[in-house]
Amino acid sequence: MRLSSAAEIGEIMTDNVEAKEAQSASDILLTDEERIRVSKKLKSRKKRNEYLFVVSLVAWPIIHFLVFWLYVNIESFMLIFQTYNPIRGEYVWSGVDDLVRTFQEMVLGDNPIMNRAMWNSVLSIIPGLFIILPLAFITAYSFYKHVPGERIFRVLFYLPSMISIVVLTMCYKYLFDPSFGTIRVLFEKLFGVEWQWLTPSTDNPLVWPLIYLYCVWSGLGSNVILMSGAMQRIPKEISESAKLEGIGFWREAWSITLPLTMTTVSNFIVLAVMGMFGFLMQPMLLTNEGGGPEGMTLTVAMYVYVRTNMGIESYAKSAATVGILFSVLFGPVVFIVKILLDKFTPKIEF
Amino acid sequence: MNFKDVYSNAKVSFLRWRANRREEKKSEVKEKWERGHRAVLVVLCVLFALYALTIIYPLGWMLVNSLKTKQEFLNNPWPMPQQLMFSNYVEVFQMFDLASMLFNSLSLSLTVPTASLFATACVSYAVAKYKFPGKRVLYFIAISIMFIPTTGSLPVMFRLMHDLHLYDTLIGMILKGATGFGMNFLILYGIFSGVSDTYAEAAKIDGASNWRVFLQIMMPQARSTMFAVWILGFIGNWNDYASAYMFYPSHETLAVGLKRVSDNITTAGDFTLDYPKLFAAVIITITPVIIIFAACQKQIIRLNMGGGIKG
Repeated sequence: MRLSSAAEIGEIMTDNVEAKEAQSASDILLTDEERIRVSKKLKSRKKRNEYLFVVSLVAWPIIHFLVFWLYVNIESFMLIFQTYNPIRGEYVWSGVDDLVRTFQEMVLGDNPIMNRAMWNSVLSIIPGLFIILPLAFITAYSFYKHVPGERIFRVLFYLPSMISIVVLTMCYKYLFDPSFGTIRVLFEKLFGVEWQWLTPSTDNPLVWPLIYLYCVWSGLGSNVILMSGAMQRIPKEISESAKLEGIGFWREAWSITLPLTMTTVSNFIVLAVMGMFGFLMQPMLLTNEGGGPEGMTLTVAMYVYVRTNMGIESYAKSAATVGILFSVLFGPVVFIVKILLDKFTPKIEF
Repeated sequence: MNFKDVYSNAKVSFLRWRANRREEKKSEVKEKWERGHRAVLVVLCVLFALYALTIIYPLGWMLVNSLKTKQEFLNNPWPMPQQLMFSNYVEVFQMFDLASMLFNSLSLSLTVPTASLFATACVSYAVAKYKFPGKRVLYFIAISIMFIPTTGSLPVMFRLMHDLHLYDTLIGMILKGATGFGMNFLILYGIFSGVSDTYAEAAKIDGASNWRVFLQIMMPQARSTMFAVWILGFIGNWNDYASAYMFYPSHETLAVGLKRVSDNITTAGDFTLDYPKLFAAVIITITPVIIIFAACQKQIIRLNMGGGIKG
């Protein structure tokens, strides 16, 4: 057996069958030229095997993506320009009339309920950006500085993320129940206040603040863990040298830890902005499914969800139009935010 | 002893003194800094304890009240129960057929994350370890899926599931859930990129096929992360309300069924205002998750800390 290099042996021996063939081939063939040809053939077969393997790996995910994502989204987009014809039982092209009408209703405010739903969705980024983000950062930072009881808090804070939103909203709702809500009764006994708390009515200013409070209460823990991870990746020496300089507690958080974890923070911001497109479960389970009187607690995602669930074709169509229009209008916001953040995020590798 | 020696001695002692002084100052600063720190940390610790209390209190309150009689609860929901009514658990279990809900929850939570994890592992392994045309495209898809809003696509998804006869079937839920992209792709991509090729190459020389290398050599090396991803998937599916309610309606899971049980509380019937039984159902629903979380909290938290998106 004459084989010129170890690499070639490795190449040929990759497959049992191939190895056998190689052996028989090298027994019979003697000229260099022919051996090279065989090895090339084997190489190409190995290539083909590898190619088939890769194809079999990625086939299902790609099919899944094409069917359940690309097709669904393109079809949804097309649905805007179609109407359901109940007589023929199918969709027919109808132009941009529906889109224009939905735009007038939702964005320009011809339909106050839809307009409110849109603003409710947009404003839902408030708790994430302005409350959870700073709180999660401070909490994670204090974990990073080894607050007493750090380990227990880490687990306890994460607990809400593990519990079904149905249960969690129930827990929260029952704190404000008229007859046995602990917080409600406490406030009534201590301060004599008789608020409506979570009852969705037009003269109740507390509904949205309480929904936001729920978002903060239930969503803080998982974000703390995420940021803790980012802080743990900061090299120890940086913190040590800061300590020797006698830098203050908050000063270090602001001018050392924050810039060094900016990638995670900016990812958090993008995800928080993304949150408005799927914001429905919290108001739906905390108040009620229809979105309350005059769409008090209605959001765009809730509208789409409830309408789809009714299973009526014309409703499905209007739901798709509203949802897609909202995505098209505010989707670019996500990209702008991402681009801006990428621009202002210091590129740090460590 | 000449002048030069005296001078150099003095210089040395001066330098030593100055160095000492500096050290002292440093440790003083450090101490002060640490004292300041500790004060802030203690304040934060108290605040955290309060927050933790708001998480534990409602759950504990439900647990306590799930053991009361209806009348006892309605009279006063705060004291400890006079008599432990474990019968609430049995009764609510039979009343709402929690056994079949439990079965549905389990069947969804065991299969969907398994399928999804396998699909994700396949595609992330291919992208991480092989060169092939379209590799960059797959990576791009994985990232962009996460940042493109698709609020209005639910109706078409609903129709698609109907048309494919996947609506309200377990296989439909599995196929719909078996996505290969998203967050988990990035996590597993990171893991597979970091796994060394040494074993794989040795195995290949010994004649192992590509599949064998993937399943028996690469996957085991990523097993702790994959396990954590799977556990999180299990919990996510166990807790899922929106998509189970929409696409799997006649097989109520615990999360979906619980909503119905809680709606029954306020409608007239046998179950009206029977909060203790509702709380018993709640406890039944969350107990498995809490046990799993208690057992795997290290892996879960590590995954969330380490696997955090790096951008």
